[in-house]
Amino acid sequence: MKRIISVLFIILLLFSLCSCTQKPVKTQFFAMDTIMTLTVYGENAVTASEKAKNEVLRLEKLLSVTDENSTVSQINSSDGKVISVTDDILIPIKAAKEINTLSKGALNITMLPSSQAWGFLSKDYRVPNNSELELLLQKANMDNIVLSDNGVSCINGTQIDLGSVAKGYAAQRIIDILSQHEITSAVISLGGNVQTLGTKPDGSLWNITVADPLQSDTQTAGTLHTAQTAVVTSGAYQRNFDINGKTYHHILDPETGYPSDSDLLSVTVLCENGTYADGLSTALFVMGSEKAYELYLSKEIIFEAVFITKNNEIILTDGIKDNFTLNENGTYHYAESHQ
Amino acid sequence: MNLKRLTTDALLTAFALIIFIIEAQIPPVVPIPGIKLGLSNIITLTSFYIIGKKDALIILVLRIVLGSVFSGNISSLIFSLCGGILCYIAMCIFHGITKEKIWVTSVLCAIAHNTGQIIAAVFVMKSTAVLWYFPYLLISAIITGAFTGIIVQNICKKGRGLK
Amino acid sequence: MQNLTNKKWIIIFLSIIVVCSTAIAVFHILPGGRVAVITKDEKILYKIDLSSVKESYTLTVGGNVVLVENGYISMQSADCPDKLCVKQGKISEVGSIVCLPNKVIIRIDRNEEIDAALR
Repeated sequence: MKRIISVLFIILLLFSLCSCTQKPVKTQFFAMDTIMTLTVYGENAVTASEKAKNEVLRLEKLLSVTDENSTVSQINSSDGKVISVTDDILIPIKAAKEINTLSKGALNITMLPSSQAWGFLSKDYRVPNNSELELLLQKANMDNIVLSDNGVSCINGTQIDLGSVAKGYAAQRIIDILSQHEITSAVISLGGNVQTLGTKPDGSLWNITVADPLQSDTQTAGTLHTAQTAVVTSGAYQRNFDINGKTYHHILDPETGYPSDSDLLSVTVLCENGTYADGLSTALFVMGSEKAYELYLSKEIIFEAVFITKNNEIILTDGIKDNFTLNENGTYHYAESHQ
Repeated sequence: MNLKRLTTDALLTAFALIIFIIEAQIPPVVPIPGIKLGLSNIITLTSFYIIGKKDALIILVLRIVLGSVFSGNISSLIFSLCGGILCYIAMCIFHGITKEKIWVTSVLCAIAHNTGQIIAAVFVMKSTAVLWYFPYLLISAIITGAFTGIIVQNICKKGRGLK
Repeated sequence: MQNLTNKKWIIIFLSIIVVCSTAIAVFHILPGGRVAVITKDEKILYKIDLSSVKESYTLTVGGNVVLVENGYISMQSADCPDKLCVKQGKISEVGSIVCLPNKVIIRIDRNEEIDAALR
C-alpha cells in the first residue's frame, strides 16, 4: 500500500517537473486590418505585450489612410500646408523615400488616388480605364512629399498611403518596446509581417513558414529558420478581386498604375529593420526577380529574400541558402540558375 | 458438440447480439471512439465462467462478426476483433488468479480490450495520433469493466444451476 | 496476486485512473502546438497554422468537412456512421480528432515547430 502511494507520488512529481518548461505569453488582437499575434517569453512578458498592443492601436490611429482623423488623412487634406508630425510619421516616410530611390521608383507611397480608383480602400472594386489611370499617376510623385524636422507637406495634390510600410513600422515599434522591457525572446506576427526578437529561449532559431502563394490558406512553400530579423511577404494573393474572369491584386506598378505584372507570385524579404523589410517586399515584388537580385548584389541595402516565381521556382539569396527548408509536398522547386 | 451445447451457445450469441445492437442505439456519452459500456461482454464473461472457455470464444467471435454486419459498421470489425481477442486472452490468464473476484477479471479484460483496439487503430491508421485517446480509454475501461464485472459476479453467484 | 483483496484491487485501479487523469492534465498544461495537420489515408493533406486564420473556412477531406477557425479546428460533418469525430467538437492547442471509418486524422502537432506564419 505504502509502496503504491510512493510510486504514485514520484510519478506526479515527474509530471510536475516537465510542466516547468517556459510557456510564452500570447496576445492576439485585430488591428491594421489583420490579426496580430504576439508571442513573448520572459518575466515581463505580460506588461510588455500589453504596452506593445497599445502602441499598435495608437499607431493605427496615426497611420491609417481610411480613418479621417488620422495624421495621414490630415496630411492628405492639407492642400500643401505643413502638418507638424512626430517620428511615427517621419520614420516610415523617410524609409519609403530611401527605398523609392534604391528601387528606382518601384515603391511609391503616393499611389493613393490610383488605389482608390481600383477600389482597394473602399472594397468597391472596379477596373479604371487607361486615361483615368494616367491622369491619377501624374499626382503620384514621391518628390512632392516635403519633409522638415518635424513637419510634412504634400504639394501639387499628392496624397500618401503608408500601407506598404505601416505594418513594418508597427512591428519594429513592438520589438523596440519589448526590448525596453528586457524581453530577449519574442516573435510577433502581423499577417504578412513577422518580426523576431533574439532567438527562442533555448537558443534555437525561429521557424517561420512562407505561404504557398497559390493556396495560401492551407499550404506552405517552405520554412525559414532565422534568428533576430524582420520577415515580410508581399504577394499577389494577399488582397485581390476578380472581374470578368481576370484577377487584379493590390500591389500597383507605379509606372503603369495597373497591378504589377512581374515574374513573381510572392517575395519574402528578411531585413534587420521592420520598416525597411516591409517597404522592400513591395518594391522587390514590383521589380521582378531579376532587378531585385541586382539590387541584392549591389549591397546598397542589406537584405535577404525568397522569391517565388510564376514558373513555380523558388530563388533564394545567398545569405539564406542554408536557412530555408522546402516543403516537400509542395508544388515548388529550386531555380536551377541560382543554386 | 451436442445439441444442448449448440442450443445454449446459439441462444447466448443471440442474447449478446441483442444487447450489442441495443447498446449501439444509445448515443455515446463521451465522443471518443471505443468508449462504451460493453454490456455484451456480460454474456461473454458469464459463459466463460459458467459454461466453458471454448463456448465463450465461439460466442465472442460470432457476436463480433455478426454484430458488425448487423450494425452496418464493417470497418469497425478489425478494431472489435483485435479488442475481443485480447480481452479473451486476458480472461484466460486472469480467471485463475482472481478466482472469485470476477469483477477484477472484468476490469482487466476491459483494459486488454481497449488496448487491443488502440493497437489496431495505430496499425490501421498508421499514425500514433490515436494514442492520444489511450488514457481516456484506460479510465473508461476500469469504470465500465467494474460495472459489467459486478453484474457478471451476481449472475454467477445466483446462476450456478445454469450449467 | 492471488492474495490481493478487493480493497487492494480497488486501490490499484484507482491509481491507474489517477495516473491517466494526471497524464491528460499534463498534456493540457504543457505548451501546446498551433499547427493542425490533416491527414487522410496516411497522406498529409493540409498543415494549417490555426493562430493566423483570419476568417473561418471549411475544407472537404473525402466525406468529411473540416471547419477551420482562428485558433480552433473541428470536424463539421462526416459521412461515417458514428459521427464521433463531429461530436468531439473543437480542439485548439492539444489533442486530435480521429475519424476511424474514413481514416481522417486532425492532429495538433507539437513537434511541427512553427513560430510564425507569413500570410
